[in-house]
Amino acid sequence: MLRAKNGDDAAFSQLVAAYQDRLVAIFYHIVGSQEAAEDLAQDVFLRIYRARHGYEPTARFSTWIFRIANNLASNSRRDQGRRREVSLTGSDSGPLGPRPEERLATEKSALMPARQLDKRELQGLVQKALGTLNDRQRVAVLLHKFEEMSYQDIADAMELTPAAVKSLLSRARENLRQVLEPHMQLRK
Amino acid sequence: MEKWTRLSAEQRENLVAYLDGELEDNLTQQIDRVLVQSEVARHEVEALARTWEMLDLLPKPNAPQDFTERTLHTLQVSEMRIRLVDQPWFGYVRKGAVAVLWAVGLAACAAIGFAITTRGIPNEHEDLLTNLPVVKNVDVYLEVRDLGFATDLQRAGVFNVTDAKETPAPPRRLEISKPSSSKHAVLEERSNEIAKMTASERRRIQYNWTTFQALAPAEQAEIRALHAQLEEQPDSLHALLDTYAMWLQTLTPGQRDDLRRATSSADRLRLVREFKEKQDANRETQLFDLNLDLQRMKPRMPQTPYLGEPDLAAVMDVLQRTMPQPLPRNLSPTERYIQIFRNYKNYPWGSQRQLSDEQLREVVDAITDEESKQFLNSRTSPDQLRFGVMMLIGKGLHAHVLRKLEPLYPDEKQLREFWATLDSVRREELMAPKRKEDAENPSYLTSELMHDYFKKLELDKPDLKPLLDYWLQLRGFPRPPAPPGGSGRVFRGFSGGRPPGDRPPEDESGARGEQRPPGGPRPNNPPPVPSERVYKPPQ
Repeated sequence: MLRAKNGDDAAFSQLVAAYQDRLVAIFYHIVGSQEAAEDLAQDVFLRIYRARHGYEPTARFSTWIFRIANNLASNSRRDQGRRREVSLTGSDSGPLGPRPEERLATEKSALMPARQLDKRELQGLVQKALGTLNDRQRVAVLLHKFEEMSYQDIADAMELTPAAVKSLLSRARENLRQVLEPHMQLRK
Repeated sequence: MEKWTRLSAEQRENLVAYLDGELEDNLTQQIDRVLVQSEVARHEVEALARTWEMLDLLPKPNAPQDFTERTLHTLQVSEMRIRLVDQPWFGYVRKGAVAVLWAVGLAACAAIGFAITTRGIPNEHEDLLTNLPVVKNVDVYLEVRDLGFATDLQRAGVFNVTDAKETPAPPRRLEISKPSSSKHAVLEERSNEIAKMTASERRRIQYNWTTFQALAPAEQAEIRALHAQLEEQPDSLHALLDTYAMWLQTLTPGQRDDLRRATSSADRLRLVREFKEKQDANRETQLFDLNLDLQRMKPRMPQTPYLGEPDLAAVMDVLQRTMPQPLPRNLSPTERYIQIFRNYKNYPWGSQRQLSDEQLREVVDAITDEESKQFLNSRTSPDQLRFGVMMLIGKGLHAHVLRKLEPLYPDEKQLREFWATLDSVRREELMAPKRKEDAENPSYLTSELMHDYFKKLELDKPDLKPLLDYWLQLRGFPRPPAPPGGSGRVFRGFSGGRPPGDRPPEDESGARGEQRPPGGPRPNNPPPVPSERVYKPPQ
């Protein structure tokens, strides 16, 4: 990044190559669309490129890039409509929101724990379970899971405290457990 | 702790951090102890761990292979400065700039065209305005001819220039041109000067301009040179030339011709001395012989009875009330009286609009003067009474007008001074009238002189015109006693009378011709001197 700051476009190209998949994956599970995920990833790189001259290595680069990603994801969620099969609203993030298993009550496939599920089906189930999380829970889970970021890094990226991230992840994983536990014995 | 003891909310929350290795050491040890002791806790931890592992099933879509290239291209495009002409707003700005340039261009063309027409195309009166200082005095310059004559004239002391302490100095005819900053300001100033001139002054300017244009270029140059030389002379010389120019008007045409024909300044100076001495001698003789019958020419009030001012005012009010049409509002009291009286009495005497019986009674009742009352009571018939009333009113108005004119009557000194201003021709007419009855009338000169005096007064004070007109129609200058065998007529007709000093036209006098202009022939139909501002400087 420091080289890119000095005008080395080849260095920036390496940055893009290094983070493009990671960003697209994160965005994919946030916005639910490959195309939208790629656009958001490009927006992240565009912002970084425009801000390169003012970059100061005061924090980890990954923290900075995912902070930008989190902001863009939030903006995107505000601008876009919600997907019908994933009814996530701001009110869902609180304790008064519907429980994850209630959201999946209409999905018939989720009501068939007795059946053996193949990997693809499980994959879909996990995706849906992830979709039951609210926005911040989901981002925290993805950053922790996919990027293996520490609570502190997640806190920096999401502009939260580590205690808030701890609580966020606790609830998120509890929600996931409630949704996925019935199916855990049925994995092949 | 029992193995079935449920975890607390805090413990549950710490389990995830425990699994993630994010728990503090003390809490970690605590969880360890709980997990050892509680099967439920162990079950939960396992469930949490397994569900976390299930997230590995989530797909991780990758960016397409050309993502980097596309992204870099997008970045480079975004970094490129959009050309000005491609800016969306540029089109509007360009259209606006074109419109502004057109407007500026049109305004510039208009300004240039205006400048060309005002500065490049000469104004038809610009020549006159440019030469105005010379033109104003062309007649004098043609008489003076050269500076040497003027200085000789001053040195000779032929004329006594009026002492400014005794009388106001006459307006200078020779005006020194004032230096000015710009030509256009000068021309505008001169245009304003002409606009303020009287009609007679403009006629003189027109005459001089026509004369000047008729001169040969060499003569025009001489005149201009003389003007330039005179501008550098002191005021005393200019005052002398003013006097000389006025004196020239008193000469006969023959005398002026003699002066023009003089071949040298010395000859001209000799002739000036000769003519001046002759005039002075004649004037003294005339003044000596002038038998001003002032005593007899003073305003004579009519014989009584006549209505005095109070009765006249009361009777006029009665008559005005019964007039068929109202009078104009801006009349002076005397004008009002005249118009009321004329409504009932037209001139010449004889035709009249009769007073009605009721009007007659009102008028008689309004009269308070005892003498007038006695006069009316002595009338023996209604017609005599009516005539008597009109006579009293007419004589009362006569007396009223005389009282208004009395302060204006000249005394002897004023009349003699007025005599001195007359030109020689008029003086000869008055001294030697052609008509026999006038020649035999000892008061002819005085009455005619008085007439000229009042006509001049009327010119100087136009507001006196109504008064003087009425007076003259009444033959208000007291008629002198008729000379033996004479008709007693004093005036030969004032409506066509000439102002004092004017020369009669050729067909009337038969003895003198028109004053010939010097130099070349008098051009016909000279263009009029503008009576209004004709020069408009450029903005």
